[in-house]
Amino acid sequence: MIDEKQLISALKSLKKSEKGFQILIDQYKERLYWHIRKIVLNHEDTDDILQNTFIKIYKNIHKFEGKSKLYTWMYRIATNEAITFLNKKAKQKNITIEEVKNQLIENLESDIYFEGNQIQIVLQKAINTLPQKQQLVFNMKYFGDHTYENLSEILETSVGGLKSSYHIAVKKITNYIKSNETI
Amino acid sequence: MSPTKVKSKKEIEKFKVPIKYFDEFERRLFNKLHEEMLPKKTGFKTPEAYFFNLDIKLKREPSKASTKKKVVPVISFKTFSYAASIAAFAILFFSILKTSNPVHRLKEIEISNIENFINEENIQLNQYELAYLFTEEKLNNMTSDVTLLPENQLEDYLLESINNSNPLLEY
Repeated sequence: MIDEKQLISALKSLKKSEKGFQILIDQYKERLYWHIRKIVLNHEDTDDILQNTFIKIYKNIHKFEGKSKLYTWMYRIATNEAITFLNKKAKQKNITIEEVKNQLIENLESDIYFEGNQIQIVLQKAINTLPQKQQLVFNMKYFGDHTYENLSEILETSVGGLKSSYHIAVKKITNYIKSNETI
Repeated sequence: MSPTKVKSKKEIEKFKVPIKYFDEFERRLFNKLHEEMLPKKTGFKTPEAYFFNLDIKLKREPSKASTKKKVVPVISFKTFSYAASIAAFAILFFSILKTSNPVHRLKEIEISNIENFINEENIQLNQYELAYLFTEEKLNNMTSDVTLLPENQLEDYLLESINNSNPLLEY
């Protein structure tokens, strides 16, 4: 695997930028895909957002100063792209972002790229009851297996704050599932 | 600090992607990226405050914009009538030319048919009318042809073929 510093220097070089970008895509496409997919839930939207994320990375790599890790910078871009997408959708439909997410969850039942059962749909509904930031923390910690240190860099929040946020999220989700056990 | 794992078991259980999605992602992304790099602007410009001035201009001169303008036809009636006359004349000329080609048509008709036609008295012409149809040159030729016939044969033929012998007596 190519060293991150070498990769950044290749990305910023005129001659090697495309080759460097190929390596970047190869290394991060799946990680960023799943990160976005947890936020927007369906494959088609995820695919669009993932492409936009990489294009933004390619166009803005010269602005990357190396103050954070490259992958945390990319995660931030992917997160912003996904949330911007949901906000746009909400604005277009003149509904709240929570309502957009509820519609997306409802669509999961007929989604050919979703194999989950009713319990997993209820879990998604429970996640949607959380505030946006808590949703991100929960998704990234529970599904993505990020460490708190990683999350701290990506979400620019202290480790203590993230731990607290995650525990509150778990508690809320558990309560939601318990109250919907009849399903 | 190492990047997170590609995909957790929890994700594999629920969400799927199309077959070969990740294999083809790079190619699709580069296509989009190259498209993104194309210039977005056409380069066309309008004069400064053009649309603002256009509004004012239209509001200021509504009567000019709405007055009924005289429509000038692309082709005048006079030109059209000349063209129509020439076309009609051409059609008439070619139709006459096509239908009136007696030499050609006569050649196509068999001699026996012409004889039958005459024998059945479909032509009601006297000798003078027939003579009128021939030019003087043709008649002279005919005369010379006739003179080539032996006189006794000609006389026999005329006596057998023509009932009324009065005209012969005149000769």
